[in-house]
Amino acid sequence: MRKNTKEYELLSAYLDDELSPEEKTELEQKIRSSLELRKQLEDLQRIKKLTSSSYKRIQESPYFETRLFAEIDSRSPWYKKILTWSPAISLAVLTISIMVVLNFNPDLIKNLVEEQKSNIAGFYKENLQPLLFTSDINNEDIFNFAMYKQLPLDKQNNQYLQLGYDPQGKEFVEIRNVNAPQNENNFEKFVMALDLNEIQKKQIDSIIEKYADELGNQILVNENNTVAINSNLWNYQRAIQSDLFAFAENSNSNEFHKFVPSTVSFISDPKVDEAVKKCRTTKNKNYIILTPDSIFSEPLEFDFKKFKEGLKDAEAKLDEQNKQLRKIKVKFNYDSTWKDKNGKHSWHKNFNVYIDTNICRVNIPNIDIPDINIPDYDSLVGVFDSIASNFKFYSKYIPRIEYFDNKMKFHFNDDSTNTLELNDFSIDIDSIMQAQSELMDSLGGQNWRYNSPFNDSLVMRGFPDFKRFFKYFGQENDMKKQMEELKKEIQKFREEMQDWRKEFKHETKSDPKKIYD
Amino acid sequence: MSSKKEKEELAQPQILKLDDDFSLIKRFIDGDESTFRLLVQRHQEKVRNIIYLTLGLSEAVDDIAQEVFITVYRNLKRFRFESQFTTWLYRITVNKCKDHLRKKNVRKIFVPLKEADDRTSYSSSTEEGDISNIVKNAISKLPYKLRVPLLLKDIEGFSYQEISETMNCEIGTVKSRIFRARTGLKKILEPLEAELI
Repeated sequence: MRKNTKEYELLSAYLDDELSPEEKTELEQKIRSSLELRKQLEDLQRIKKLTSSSYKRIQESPYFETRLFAEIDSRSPWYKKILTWSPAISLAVLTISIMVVLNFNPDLIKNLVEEQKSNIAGFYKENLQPLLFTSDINNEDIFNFAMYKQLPLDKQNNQYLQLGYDPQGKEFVEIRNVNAPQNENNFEKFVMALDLNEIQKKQIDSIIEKYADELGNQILVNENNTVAINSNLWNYQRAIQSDLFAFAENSNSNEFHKFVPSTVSFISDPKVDEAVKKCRTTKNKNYIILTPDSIFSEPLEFDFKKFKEGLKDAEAKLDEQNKQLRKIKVKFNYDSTWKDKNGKHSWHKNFNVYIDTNICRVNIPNIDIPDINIPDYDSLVGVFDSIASNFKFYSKYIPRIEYFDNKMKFHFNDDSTNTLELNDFSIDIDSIMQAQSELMDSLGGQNWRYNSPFNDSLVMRGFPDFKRFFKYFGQENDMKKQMEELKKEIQKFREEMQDWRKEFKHETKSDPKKIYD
Repeated sequence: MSSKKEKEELAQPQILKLDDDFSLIKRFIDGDESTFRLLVQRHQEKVRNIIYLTLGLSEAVDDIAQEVFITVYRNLKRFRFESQFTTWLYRITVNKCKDHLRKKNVRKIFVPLKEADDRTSYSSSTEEGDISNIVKNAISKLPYKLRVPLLLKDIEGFSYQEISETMNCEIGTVKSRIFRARTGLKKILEPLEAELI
């Protein structure tokens, strides 16, 4: 039985082709000789066939893969899950760390910002030097600063620093890129208008030079295009102006009051002197610093005396080598096309800043300016402004006239190149009257000011701006009527005169003796 | 790297080198876990079929196949390249099926008889009357250790060697079990001879 079972196992393996060649040959021989084995083989073959044909392959599962990987992900170890969330976890850890740090050191960010601000401020504050040293500022410029609140930053490129007051009386400063009037010789005109003698001229020069020296640390500049303005500068301008007017009045009161109302006096009030002195002696460290990309206020220590000493030493050393100190070229650049998100050319924070193509204006509403009150100055601001413009046109500046050989020669500013010569200065009254008449007739014309109906130059000079002075301008119709009436009256008068002449002749002819009777 | 190994790699066709199971497993071990998806795609059908044959159930196939691949995924980095990947994979599959059946048998103890009968894999021959079902029913009545080698041989076409590795037993044992399965099947089917003709 055991032998049979062994042979039957071999038959099963034979069906599965799992016998060695030797076993296979041997078994095949036995099968051929044994009916039982053949029958057994048939049975096994039938069973194998039934087994093989009874099963179909299982259908594919389309979601198996998706489900499997979802399950793998859900069963991932904790560290792998953490790894997946690592960006968010890092962010959270960072946030918590910052919160903890800020909790224990709440001023950290503020300090960092302040440090950065201080670094930027440090860069712009580096190597600041007095504008009066770096630029070629002369007495005329100081005088213009006193009178017109204007100082040149860059004369070649017409860039000026302009101080001013807005309608609310708050100070502002402007960097202007405009063609400011140059070489007007305002200081010279002022001196001429006052008719100062040589000693007085020297005195006024020394006053201006004294202020020029003191203004040294009021405006500082450097090569980084920084302009630092001491907030006391507005007071300084008032002080210089008051001082100059006081000197002018004191030197030549008669001439002074020809262009200054007699009610205004600068020397009578000792409080003015006191205020001026206070302004000059006040040590103010508060500077408004204008840079091409920021405007800020910073306390600044500038030792002008030390600077001057250093300058002298440097000049002495350089002089030995025949060299000159390099002066700073200031050219304050700012982005004139700057607009905020609303398209406005201005921004408001600590300073109100307005930007234009030619002007960068900084209003200074909240800056600590030393409170020095020059008595009556505020009420006299209008007077000051009119004085500053009046002396330019004061009669002292009327050209000197020279007569010779029936000629008139006008010398302007005593400059031989700037003279006007009239060949025939005899005045033809008929010509003037005719011109006057034609002028009246031409009032109805559109371009009467631009026509030159008469050749008499004096008439032209006599009525340079007829529109401004002639009160009937603009009422041509009324004027015309009146002129016509006047003409009629004149004509009537002429006719009466002619009649009267005729009568007179007639009477004379008829009875000449009567006349002499 | 030794020159011998280099020669072996050079001798190996490039496509095979890139796509064969070992290459994919190496890449997986090196950190490229996307290769596991390729292994799943390549072997999922065979695994699901083995489960189906072994258990005779279609409902639990995907759950068990999922467990198989999760086990592979967790242990793949410890694969030692000493045998074919499929051998290792099928052994895990068969073991999972065995575990399933064991759990099922334990549960049967606590389930009422009627309900337990409802859970039988195949319906009775009288209900179906179909040859395939008669045979399937007969096979399902074979013991597990006989049934699995028979099906792996006759349905999946495994060699005795492969079956022995998968079932973790000797080739002689496989040979014997297959023979015994066929003899047992013959005995089960004898009363139903008339229906099978």
